[in-house]
Amino acid sequence: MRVGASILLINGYCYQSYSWSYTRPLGSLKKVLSFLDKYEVDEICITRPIKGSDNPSVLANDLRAIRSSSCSSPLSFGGGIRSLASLKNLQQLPVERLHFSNAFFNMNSRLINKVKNQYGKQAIVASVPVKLVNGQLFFYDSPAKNFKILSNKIISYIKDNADEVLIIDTQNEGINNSFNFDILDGIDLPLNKLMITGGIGQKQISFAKELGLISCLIDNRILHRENFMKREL
Amino acid sequence: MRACKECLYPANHPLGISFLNGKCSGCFTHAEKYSLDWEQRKLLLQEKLKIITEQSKSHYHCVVPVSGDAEDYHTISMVLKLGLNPLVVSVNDYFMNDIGWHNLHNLITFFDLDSYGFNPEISIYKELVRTSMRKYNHALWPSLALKSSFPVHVANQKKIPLIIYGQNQPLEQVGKYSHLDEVEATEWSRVEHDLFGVEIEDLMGSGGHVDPKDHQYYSYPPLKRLGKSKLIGLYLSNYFPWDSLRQNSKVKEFGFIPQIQSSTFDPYERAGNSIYYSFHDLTKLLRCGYRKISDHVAREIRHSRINTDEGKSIISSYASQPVYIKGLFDWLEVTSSGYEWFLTHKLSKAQHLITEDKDINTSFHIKLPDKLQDEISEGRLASQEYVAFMKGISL
Repeated sequence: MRVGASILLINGYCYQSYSWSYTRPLGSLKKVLSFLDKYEVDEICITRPIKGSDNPSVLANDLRAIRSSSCSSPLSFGGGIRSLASLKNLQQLPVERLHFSNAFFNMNSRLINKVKNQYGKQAIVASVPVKLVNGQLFFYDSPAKNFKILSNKIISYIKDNADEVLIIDTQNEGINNSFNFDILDGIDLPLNKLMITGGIGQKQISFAKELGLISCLIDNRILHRENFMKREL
Repeated sequence: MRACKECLYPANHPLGISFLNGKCSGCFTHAEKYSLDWEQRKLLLQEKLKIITEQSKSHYHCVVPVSGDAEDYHTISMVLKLGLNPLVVSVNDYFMNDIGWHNLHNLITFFDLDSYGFNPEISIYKELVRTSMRKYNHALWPSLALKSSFPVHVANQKKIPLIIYGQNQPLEQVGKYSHLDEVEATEWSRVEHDLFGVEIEDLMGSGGHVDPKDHQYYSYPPLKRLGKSKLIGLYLSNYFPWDSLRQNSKVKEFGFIPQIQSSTFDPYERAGNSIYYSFHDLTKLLRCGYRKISDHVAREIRHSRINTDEGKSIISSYASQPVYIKGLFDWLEVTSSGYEWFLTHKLSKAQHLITEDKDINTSFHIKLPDKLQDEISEGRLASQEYVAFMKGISL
């Protein structure tokens, strides 16, 4: 199982997210990537947390920051890629995979097929921010800025089109050892296609290994401890 | 410029900042101080210390980096109350005045501590200060680099498993983490926060004339070596409700001497430093857009000793306070034409704040709100600046 880091990027600067409701500053993308590299993470997921509509100049700043960074760990990127037009901006981005949320929730086959043709299916990750309320799973609809029921139809579409699926526990992100594994009971997807993030700590990583998940992305905490990967895992 | 509606911190704070409904991350993290169970957090710390110190083979339980600041007195008193045997480690940055030397030596003797000091080779140090000023308008980089790495080298070499720091500045100032994150000291944090993203290789990239073998202690020990020694750096402010001014106001009883400053009302923080409230304050304004007084005002608003309007008024009162900086250039052996070049090319936007009057400290006072005034002690004026070595106490 891979163990990586998830970071938020807003206007060229990295932030930490807590419970999907507020952010704290983290640091410059350049130094964050450089030290995550040094701490030997298996992968780094860079997400632009776009709630509502995107701002083209902020997107341009974010892409510029990623392009100018130097990092040998595999990078993936997502956030705000909602149209064919926005796909054009991603050319020559030093990332291996792309994350899509809205495109899957809206079953935007034009966009998904374009990405498949351009980059291959192995480059496509469905990023699914969820919350679990009374046994019912809801996904976060970014343009609408609210949670909606995660239907079987959407899950089936994800299954058919994504190479891997990142499940984000929005209620527990930023809180150590708190990822709620009950979420996985409500998602009919093969475990060996699932990545998880949101409240990932040592206990979650051990359990995820037992379950046979493909990857755990630690939110916020890797830079909070020296030698995090070697000390805590 | 966008600023926090409560503490007035600007959006371009160099440590980073975020906002929620107009309130900054520093303010909403500060609010945790009133809701956390601090007794439980103290127990948590004690458990951690027990585990770490039981594994230690060293005579010392921990290293505590000190420079004689008021906060060092508070930190040491806490460390001793926790039952630890510390080795205090200091770095001579050659910027201390007579008050600074007194405060450092008095700290060591008052608490009867074992100490370890480092005096960097002065010509290399001066060259690095000049380079840092030229490249980054920052005179403190070499001092910060040494102070944030040398104690780590010492702990590593002497197999001491723990370093204890007082406050976590990014948490206290801009709320970069929750107290519950229990963030520890890391090389990333050192580079990102203490050294504003600049490493020795960046500084020496061009313009510096120093052999790399001469700057070992300006760099952090290699990660692999730290991994083997399992060295951990803990911040006390994650486990105790931190209130710098109140804590610092109490350390006079240990013999600490506050210093009268012309650029702030706070006579405790960085008392004994020849450039912190003069050249450094001026270049902080040029780099960040605000002076040190804004840090002190934000802190005091959060602790409810002043309100936002009073904070604005205090910042405005200190905004035009001039500083005397020529002493630094003399100490650096910069020629008068070099000084003029620096004024013209690096400080042109702040020339109105530069004075040739050495005694600027003596004249400026403002009336502070009572709650704040209650925490302020009478300070002393320094009689000698830039003292390379001095016996700070007489036994």
